Amino acid sequence: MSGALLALVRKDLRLLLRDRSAFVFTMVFPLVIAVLFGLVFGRMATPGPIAVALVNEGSGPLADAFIGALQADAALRVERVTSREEAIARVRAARCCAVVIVPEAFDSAAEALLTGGSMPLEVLGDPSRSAELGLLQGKLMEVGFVQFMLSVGDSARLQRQAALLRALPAADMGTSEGERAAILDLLGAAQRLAEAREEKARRRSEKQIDGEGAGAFPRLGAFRPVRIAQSAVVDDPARPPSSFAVTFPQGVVWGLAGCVMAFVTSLSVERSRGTLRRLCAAPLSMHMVLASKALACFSMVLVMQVMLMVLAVTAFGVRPVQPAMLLPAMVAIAVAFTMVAMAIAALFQSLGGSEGAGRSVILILALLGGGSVPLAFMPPALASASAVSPFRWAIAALEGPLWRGGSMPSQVAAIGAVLLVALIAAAVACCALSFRRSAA
Amino acid sequence: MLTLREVSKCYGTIRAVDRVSLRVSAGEVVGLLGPNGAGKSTTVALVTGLLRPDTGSVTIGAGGDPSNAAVRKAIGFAPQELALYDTLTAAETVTLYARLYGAFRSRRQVLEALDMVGLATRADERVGGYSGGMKRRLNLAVALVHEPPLLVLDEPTAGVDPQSRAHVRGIIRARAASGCAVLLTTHDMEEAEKLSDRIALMDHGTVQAEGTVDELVAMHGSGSSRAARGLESVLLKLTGRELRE
Repeated sequence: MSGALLALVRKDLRLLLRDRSAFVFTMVFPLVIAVLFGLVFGRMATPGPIAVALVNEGSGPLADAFIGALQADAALRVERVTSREEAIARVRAARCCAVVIVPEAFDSAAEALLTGGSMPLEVLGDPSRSAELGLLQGKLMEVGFVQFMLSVGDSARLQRQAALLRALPAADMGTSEGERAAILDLLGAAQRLAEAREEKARRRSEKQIDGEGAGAFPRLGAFRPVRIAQSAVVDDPARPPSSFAVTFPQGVVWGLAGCVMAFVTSLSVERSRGTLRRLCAAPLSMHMVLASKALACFSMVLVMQVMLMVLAVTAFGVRPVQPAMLLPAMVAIAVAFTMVAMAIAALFQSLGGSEGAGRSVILILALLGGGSVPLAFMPPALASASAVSPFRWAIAALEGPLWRGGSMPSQVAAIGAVLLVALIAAAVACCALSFRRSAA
Repeated sequence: MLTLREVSKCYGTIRAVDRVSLRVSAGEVVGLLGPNGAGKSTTVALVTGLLRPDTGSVTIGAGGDPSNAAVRKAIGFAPQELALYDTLTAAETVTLYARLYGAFRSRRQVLEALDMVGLATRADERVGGYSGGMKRRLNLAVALVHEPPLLVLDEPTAGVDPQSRAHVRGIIRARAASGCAVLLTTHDMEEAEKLSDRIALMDHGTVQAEGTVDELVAMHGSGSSRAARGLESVLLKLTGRELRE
């Protein structure tokens, strides 16, 4: 008897594995979903530096210093290109969010900061990435401010600025003679301060060469109006350590949907093609034929889950917090979804019914259960409604051992919820079959 | 080998089989003839254990009821529809059914079974690529693989070419000669005449006439021409000429 059962299971697994579309939906599609969603959610959770294309049309030391400061900023990824066209092409290809153009007149304008000038920059941005453009603008202002403070601490530049100011009529500056005199006094004082600091720095530098050592000498360029103390928030146990820890259970949802549909469809195909009738004419009971289908479905569900979990751990860095609870959870899920498949097969017996209504029911339940949008991102009402989906409980049972952790009773409760799904599905299957028998 | 005693089966208010009695002995081929809806398929389902009779009894061998799974091991069943799995190979199909009937067959034995129906050279090809005639022959091989003492063949040559038909008929004759009891349903009068030792003509769920071809023609044939004295004229005379559903 067991030989016949094994032969039937082997036959069902062969049929499933040789059906390309069923194989893709049960084995390949879940993996693609898990990896794709993992990459997308991972990118959303931890954005990288802002990619910017930079064109330097200037040739002075101030432009070089400004560009050097931009390149040194960890929040930016600056790619220098030689022409505007090339830079714009990069924005169009979404390789960066904006082009920053340092114009030819940058140095001369930067020299005249204290006489009403400003550092000219041109930014051509991708309008769909407004958040990144806002961040870029803030970064440009920050780097510009640092460059300004450096110029205030440089005696030679202050001297040049003072000379420029004296040569410029007050009317051109939009100030009165008195205000211009006050600015010149301020520049003179700043220049003297800068010279004194530079002399002190030179002496310290000589002593350092003599082996006396030297402490850091604060320059005006190091002036920061706001000092930000930044540190990482302690890991929240309610947050997954990686996006793949969330998306691989999502992948399992789609694998479960694929297995259930493959099983339901195979039973309908057997009915419509007469092979089920032939099996029933063999020395087998109908229960045995159904048991073999269920065993094949159980095996497929379990293999699919094990494959996804092994890949999650070995290739995507997911580290289960309670690995010992993974196998019981996967076995419980396999039992539950075998029963779900039986229930749907009992409810929709015709080929059209199983492929149409059955597929729709499974698809809706999978979406509602978190197969597409993780439960954490669902609106509260939808998250509550997801309780009717067996897929939601499968995700809960897998997420516990994968990253949520929690006490043993809470894990057992999650597995219990999955087994309750199995019981409900079995009851639905029995009711549907007895109703059909009585109707016949 | 097979005995039906006063067997009846109703579907709701429709009496599909009405007190049918029939016997098929070892080494005998009995043809079950009749128009569509005569009750042949229901009779076959009762014989193969797919249905249970409302009244009467079906007995296989020495008192076995085909609703008992163990008793069905004695039956080789080739249904009218080509109930085969397209993505399995012929060898896998034969091996599967051998296992289901509790007969473990080696690769050599499986190839011998396929050779009998002329498919040994294409044993490892998927059934989906077979022609209709090849599928029909494989259908028969599946019924024969566990060497049953009773063969139930529901239109075994429907829709096949003359070569395949001749081959299948040869196999049926050979099995009967080796002591196998064969119950055969067919719409092909020539086939029934050539293969059957006895013929049961069914209509409206009952056996209208039973006997050898000669006996039936002698009792119910009319006219002097060869055609008028054939089995078909007997069938038409007994079951009428109106079209059936």
